[in-house]
Amino acid sequence: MTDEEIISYLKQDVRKHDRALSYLFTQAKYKEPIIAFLRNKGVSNNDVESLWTDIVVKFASLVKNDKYQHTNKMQAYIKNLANFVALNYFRDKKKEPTAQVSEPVSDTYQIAYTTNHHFELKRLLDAQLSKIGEQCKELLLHWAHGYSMKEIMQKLKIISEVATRKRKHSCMKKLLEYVNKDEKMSELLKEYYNELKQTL
Amino acid sequence: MTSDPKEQVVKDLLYEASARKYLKEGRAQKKRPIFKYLAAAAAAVALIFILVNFPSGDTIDKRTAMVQEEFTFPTITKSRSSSIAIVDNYIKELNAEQYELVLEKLYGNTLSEKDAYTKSQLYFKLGRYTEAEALLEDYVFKDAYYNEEKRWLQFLLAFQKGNKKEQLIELKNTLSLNYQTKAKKLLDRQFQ
Repeated sequence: MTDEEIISYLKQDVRKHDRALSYLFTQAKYKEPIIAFLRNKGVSNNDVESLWTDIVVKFASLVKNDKYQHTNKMQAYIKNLANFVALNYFRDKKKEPTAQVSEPVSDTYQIAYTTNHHFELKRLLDAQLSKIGEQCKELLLHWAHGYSMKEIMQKLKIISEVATRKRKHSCMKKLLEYVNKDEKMSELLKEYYNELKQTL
Repeated sequence: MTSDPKEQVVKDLLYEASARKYLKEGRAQKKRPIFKYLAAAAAAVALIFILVNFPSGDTIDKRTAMVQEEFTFPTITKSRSSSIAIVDNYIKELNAEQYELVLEKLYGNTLSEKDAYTKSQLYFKLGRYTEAEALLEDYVFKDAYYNEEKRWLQFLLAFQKGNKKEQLIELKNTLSLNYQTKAKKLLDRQFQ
């Protein structure tokens, strides 16, 4: 799969998206330089795999939201993304990197906003998701992943597409209520959204 | 973008959570059933093989204790030559016995002889025998001193694995006199 195909597939239906995501995640030519880079910065062996997952996911998210403009420098872009994710990691762990973390290339602002508060938002969202019940959580994750209502209906054995849609609506409402009640998360989301608006 | 900006951002975060979940769990779950059965069958055969052929855990523990008793982690000093070794930057940590920390720094396929030698010693010290063995098999040392140390470590590894007496004697005969004495001591204790 070429870089161009990965970009194209990530924006398409869920099957092609997943194929590209898996490919990017497992191919040594993308993975190994980043793993070596993270280790060199002092990321512990236990955390390296988890950070690589975050980097791939962030990249896919940027591509899906048309924040990534392909210019034959995909690997450099991913490395830049890794740099920001590593910076956040050290900040969250209150730990100093063993080597200087700075590899600024293009699109730095896009990456900076998308990785800002990444770990904190991930943690807060997980906490809110745990409150809405397992089926609601599954439903929302399938929906956000790109599955159609019909596919979600089949996966979760819901009676009809209409019922699935209604349930998705009520689950999202419930989640947003919890999110709104959480001051810290609300504040971070507002900040995140304002940064996002500036890049539009 | 949906009407509620917060909803859009939450949807982005949900997407990331679902993609992470897919990468962490999805691939394992999507293995075809035939592979699952084959893996289970292979595991069962391996278990039977282990139970029938291998000595008890006590015997392995005893041998492990014996080799660790004979093994001394070498004193690593800073290189005087111009060649660059990663380990030169971690002498203090080695002296403080922060072995795992130093081992983390020694990665990649382009290690110097000194780094590869130290790495093999670290693996051994930490009881990571399979990795020590693989490294010693793969790495070609040019320096005579490192080769001598490599043979000693290979003897210890073979002893720890429970190789036959004849094989161990053969390995012992390739060692320097100092190490031959140590090897003999181990062999006498094990096979008397």
